[in-house]
Amino acid sequence: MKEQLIKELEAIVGNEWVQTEKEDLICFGYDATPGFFNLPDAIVQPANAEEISQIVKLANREKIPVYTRGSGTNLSAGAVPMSGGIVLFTIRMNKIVEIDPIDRIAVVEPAVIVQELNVAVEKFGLIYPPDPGTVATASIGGTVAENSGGLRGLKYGVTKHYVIGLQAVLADGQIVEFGGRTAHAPGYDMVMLLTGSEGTLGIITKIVVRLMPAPAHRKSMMAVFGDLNDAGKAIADIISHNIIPATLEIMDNYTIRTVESFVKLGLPVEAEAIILAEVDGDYDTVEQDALKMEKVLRENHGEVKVAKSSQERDQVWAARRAALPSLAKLRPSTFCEDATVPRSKVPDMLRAVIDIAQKYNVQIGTFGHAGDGNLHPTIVTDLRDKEEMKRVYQAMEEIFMTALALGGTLSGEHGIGLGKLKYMPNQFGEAGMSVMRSIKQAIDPNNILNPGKMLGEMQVP
Amino acid sequence: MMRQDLIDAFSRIVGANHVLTANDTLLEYAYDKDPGFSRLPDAIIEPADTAEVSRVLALANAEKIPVYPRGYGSNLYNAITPVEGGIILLLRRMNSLLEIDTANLAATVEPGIFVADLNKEVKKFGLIFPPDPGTIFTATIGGMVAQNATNIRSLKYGSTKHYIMGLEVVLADGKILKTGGKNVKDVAGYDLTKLMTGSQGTLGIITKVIVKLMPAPETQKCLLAGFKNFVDAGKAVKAILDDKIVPATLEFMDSVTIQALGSKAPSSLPPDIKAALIIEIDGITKVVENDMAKISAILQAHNVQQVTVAETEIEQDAFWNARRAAITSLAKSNDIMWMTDAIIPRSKAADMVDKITSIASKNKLTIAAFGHIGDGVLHPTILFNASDKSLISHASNAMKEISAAALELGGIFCSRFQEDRSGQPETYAKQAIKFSLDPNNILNPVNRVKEG
Repeated sequence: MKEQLIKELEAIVGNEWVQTEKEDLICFGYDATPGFFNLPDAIVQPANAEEISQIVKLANREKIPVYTRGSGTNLSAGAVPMSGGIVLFTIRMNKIVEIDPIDRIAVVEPAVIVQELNVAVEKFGLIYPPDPGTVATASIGGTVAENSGGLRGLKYGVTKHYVIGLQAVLADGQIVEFGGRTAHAPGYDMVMLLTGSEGTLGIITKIVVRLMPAPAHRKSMMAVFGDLNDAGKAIADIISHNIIPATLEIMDNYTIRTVESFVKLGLPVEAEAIILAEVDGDYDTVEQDALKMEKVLRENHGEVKVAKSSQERDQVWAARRAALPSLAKLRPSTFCEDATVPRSKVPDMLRAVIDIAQKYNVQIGTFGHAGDGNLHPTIVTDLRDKEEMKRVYQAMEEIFMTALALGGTLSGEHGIGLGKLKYMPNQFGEAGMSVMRSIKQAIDPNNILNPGKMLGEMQVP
Repeated sequence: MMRQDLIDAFSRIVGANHVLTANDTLLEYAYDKDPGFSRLPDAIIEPADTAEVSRVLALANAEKIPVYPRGYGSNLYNAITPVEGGIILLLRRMNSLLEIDTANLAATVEPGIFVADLNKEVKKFGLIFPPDPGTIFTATIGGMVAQNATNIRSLKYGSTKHYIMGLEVVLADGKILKTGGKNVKDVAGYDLTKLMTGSQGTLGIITKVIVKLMPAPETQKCLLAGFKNFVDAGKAVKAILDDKIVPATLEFMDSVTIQALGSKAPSSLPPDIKAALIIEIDGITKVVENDMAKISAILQAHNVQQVTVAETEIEQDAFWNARRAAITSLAKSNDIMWMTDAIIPRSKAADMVDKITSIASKNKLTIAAFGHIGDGVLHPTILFNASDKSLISHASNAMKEISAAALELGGIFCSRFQEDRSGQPETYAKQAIKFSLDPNNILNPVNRVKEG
């Protein structure tokens, strides 16, 4: 990058907030996705929307790419620079601006960590439901840009169900405000368009979210299944008995064995599947639904253990929380995918992944949010082994194609980024891709905002 | 008048009996429920399926003919009035229920199906489609999606758009776009489903809708409460919500609305009532009963005059039919009705009603107020007779004041008299999207209407 431009950036944010040393740049060359690394030209840490506006105006004038970055926990290479350009690191914008317990709304800056918001609203008896696995490290700005999900998606939905207003900086540097604090807003839903747009349409500088009353009561249980089909049917039956659990998770045999070998929770290593479930809400509804759910699980040959205390509840969820870390310990590289299918297709998808692992001779453990069809086939491998990686990418491709064939989607909660870019036309077809590219071009004609992600290379007129 | 060769070309696509150009038929479609917005279309076209819609649009786009999609015309603004002539695309033939998928809690429907008909069918499986636009018997799903209609169950169940999982949309050039699907979680690409929902037919014609269904609640209980003044009613609403009770619906009607209902007003309401609330609780029996007891206590603490709990489904229907009749009753008893949306943070809803009352008396006008008060959605409705021209300027003035009051309370205001917002960056971004998807501006082009 030209020295003059660095000077201009320093003039906007102050010298100490622009980094160009190689060792700094390297830290920002990747995110949590294995296999993607590119050096940016500069790291810029703005203090507020006005500074971002000036940075973006400069970048737009010079046609320099801008990659917005929060905590960098992205799992689809959405935060990785392409070649050169500016990493816009939002970490200084980390204030909770307001908590309004009456209208149950919070206003936050993008770098607030999801858990920090939850801690702050707890004293009002409120929760912010979206809880991605990285709840303790992910920035809210990042979760909005990626429309992150989490364990409670079945009952509570994902991030976008809670975002009602945004302040953002567009590609021409204009600061805009969409939505607000009300339940309903007319016109094109720009809030929902920006949520999940992976930093390609604007830079989010302030977020208005809805909060929910904390559930008064909850009950967890674990069910062990000798046959995967029974587990699949149990999931369908729970829903058809009009129970909407807050969380309804599944782990396959490979994951169970891996967790057990690392954490020793006494899990049955012969089981084909374990279902973990929690209902929450008011006391009476929870007790009634928990009884119903227990019965449904048993009727489907599940061996059920209901948590009787908060310690027992923690034990139930310890197994689930250990899934990804345990799998990640097996091999040097971990690809955690999030291909998602309609709920009724979960057993088909689980079977298909097991077959694919055999076919390509790769190691895949699958766990995930069975209740909403969002599975995490997790491939453990070694990036340095070129021959194996070839098989890994083939297996990955077949997993994505299988999900699409089952009426599913490439991504339930991690986004497209670079990781799944190649398969986008398979999901969206020519009409879908052209509509999305038209929108991108209309809003960001010079293609400076996170270019190359989600929609691939764009033609700049 | 449309050129004969074009009429012939459209007839070849949908069949001659589905291209209507007779003058009396055109007149029928010249207006919707908003009086005073009449303009004759050139033709009414009734396509049978997506392929026909696609071919109609491709031709209209090539000839730059405006296209106004229309469900049943229960729209409350002029969003579907053919202000520039052109084609009314009547989607009533596309009214099939294509699938109910109980395993995935989803239904796939064509846009012309009535919301009530969908609900009737899914009820057989113990399911509900929660969004209830209030005009449930005459509103179509397609229209509801296009408008992202506010709905009376949004307090507990959320806004309409959360129940729209996927769409099939015909774009301005005739291309067919599929968005979303039956996945509960789907973050691939831009959320075109939500962009299209609420886009008022300006970005594409919706030809198929995948909706999310919910298990029907075990029990439902409904009550009607009458108050001597609306301040008490407003305070009661706030107290209910502060107590973390989440009713399925929490509806408000002021005295103007109640009086306009006439014989449709619930018989249990005393005549001197100034405000009424309709509250519905659903869930499991024990919780519903507990919540009803808590609500009754809160209502008593706020000087309620009369509480009637519906004991039968017929009584319950009577309450809702009254609320659903509000708009038509107000329209019948007045020449001119300017209905608006004032959407405010729910804690400020009672303040908004207060402001509407003083704006009405200051401008010597009758203004009705009713709406989904639990969610902060109110419909201030200005009523006057056309014979007195001076009232139009009073009404315009009142409209401005209501708009200012809504904004002051941290809310938003919408009416058919949209303010000139061009030049603002927010508007610029929206226009850029419109022109990128509909460069010839054929889809529901609406001229900004001047006031007065």
